[in-house]
Amino acid sequence: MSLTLAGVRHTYAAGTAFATDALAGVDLSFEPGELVLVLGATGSGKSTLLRVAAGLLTPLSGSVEIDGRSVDGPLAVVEPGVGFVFQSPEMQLFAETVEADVRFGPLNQGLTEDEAHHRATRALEAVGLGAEEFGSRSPFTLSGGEARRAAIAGVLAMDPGYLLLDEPTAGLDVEGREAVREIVARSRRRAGVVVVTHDAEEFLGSADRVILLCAGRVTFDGPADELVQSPERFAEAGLKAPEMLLAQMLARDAGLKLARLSLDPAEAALLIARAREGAR
Amino acid sequence: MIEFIDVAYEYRTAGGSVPALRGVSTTLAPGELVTVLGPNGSGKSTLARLANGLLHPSEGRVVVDTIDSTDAARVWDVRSRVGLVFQNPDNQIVATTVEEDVAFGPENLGVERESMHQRVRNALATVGLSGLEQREPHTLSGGQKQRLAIAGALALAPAYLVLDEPTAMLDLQGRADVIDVLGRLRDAGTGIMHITHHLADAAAADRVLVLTGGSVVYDGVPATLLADTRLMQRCGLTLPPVGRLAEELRAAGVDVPPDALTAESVVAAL
Repeated sequence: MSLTLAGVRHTYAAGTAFATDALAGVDLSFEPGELVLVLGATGSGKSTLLRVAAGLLTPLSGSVEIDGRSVDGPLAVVEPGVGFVFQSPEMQLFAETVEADVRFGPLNQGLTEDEAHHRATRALEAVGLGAEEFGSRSPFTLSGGEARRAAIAGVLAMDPGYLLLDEPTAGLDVEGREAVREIVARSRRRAGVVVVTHDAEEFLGSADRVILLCAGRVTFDGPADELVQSPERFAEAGLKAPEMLLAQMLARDAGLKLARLSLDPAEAALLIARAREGAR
Repeated sequence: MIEFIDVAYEYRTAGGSVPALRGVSTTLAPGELVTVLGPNGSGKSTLARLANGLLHPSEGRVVVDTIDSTDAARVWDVRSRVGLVFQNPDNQIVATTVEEDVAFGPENLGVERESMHQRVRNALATVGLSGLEQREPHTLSGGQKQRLAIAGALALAPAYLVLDEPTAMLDLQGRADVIDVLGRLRDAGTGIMHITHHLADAAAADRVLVLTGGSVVYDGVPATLLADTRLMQRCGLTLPPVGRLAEELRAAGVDVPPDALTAESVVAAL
């Protein structure tokens, strides 16, 4: 069981003067139950990677397989295989009520009204928008954070085996970002989750695995903690490391012997305090 | 100086009117960098659109260098003094080369050819895009595109620049580059209003304005806000991780200043 990309290459406007290489040979595999964070500078190929994995874009070469089945064309999205949450997905809410919007996906998968309603109710619960309170409201009366969550519910309701999200927290305030982070982290119980973002700090703490993309190539693929312990990998991929890790790198450069690096402020402060004791 | 004097604004919809701002009084002086923070729907973007007369206040007044923003005879006077930059650079780029894109504004104002070239060169130099004049904008990175959008506003030589979440689409490096440009413009005398969701951006500001529910809940120096945990909570703000590291270090007896929100400033205190 996995979502697998093998030897994937893609060039936009291939054969013209505007040809732009987006993916230059990518081999990756995503498993159910894991939360994978994909990081890369703007233009590194992150969004192309997601579109290929969802079957929305057929790459120039290479193959995509879901649980052993070859993906060929956009049908993968309608089948329960892969769910895709686009950037600013709330722009696509369209129905008269939140519940009808979330029900739209399962209905189009051929489920009955009852089954679709049941799916919508569960999906709304999963994103913390109780169907009682929110189901009959117009999507246009929701706050920015609530609308984003309703849009994610619309994808969860189709019960995808793999859930792909492109910048799910961009443009949201503190509260909205935290709610979406929790929903995404919890979703790994029901699907393999792949999150693309340019803000490393948003998901680095909760991800099981991190992939760094640079100019269409994978430059790092490993456990999140391995990346935390070697933050110089960020710069290698043309990315700025999170300030938390930069602070600890600078402390090391200044001569402090930190036992390890941490994303947790309390733990990092403790390790720095200990290193200062040791230096005395 | 831009003055907001007891400003209220309501959006009119079919179902009635929705208040976006009420009782807002604040200022933006030349050579000042003000960061505007607040949750979604707190009125930040409305404030930006009021600053250059794109919207007119329902109550109160907005005055730009003594010109009332509703003065129909002086609309262009106000707009040429206050440049506006939006969140998504792709929506603001119009030409097929970097140079032409920056020249678009001054050309439309009928600026003379020689002085226009000078303006374009200066604007691109200020945002660090010199040498890319002939590039097609779509081949630029996100951070470069946003700096191009800023250069386009600068070519009109505005006295004030209002930016509505200009770093929302950018990676950390792109964000750092834009913040750096804003600091340099401020030093050169431009008044900057920077609307953002990132509290860390406030550390570089002269003043921070926090809006919630359309009202000003804080207007003052960043250090006072950042040192007051309860006020921060009331404003719906949380420290970024490196700010919490600074807090933990303070609790452990290290003398880290409250406005230390970058790796450098925290480590400098060790």
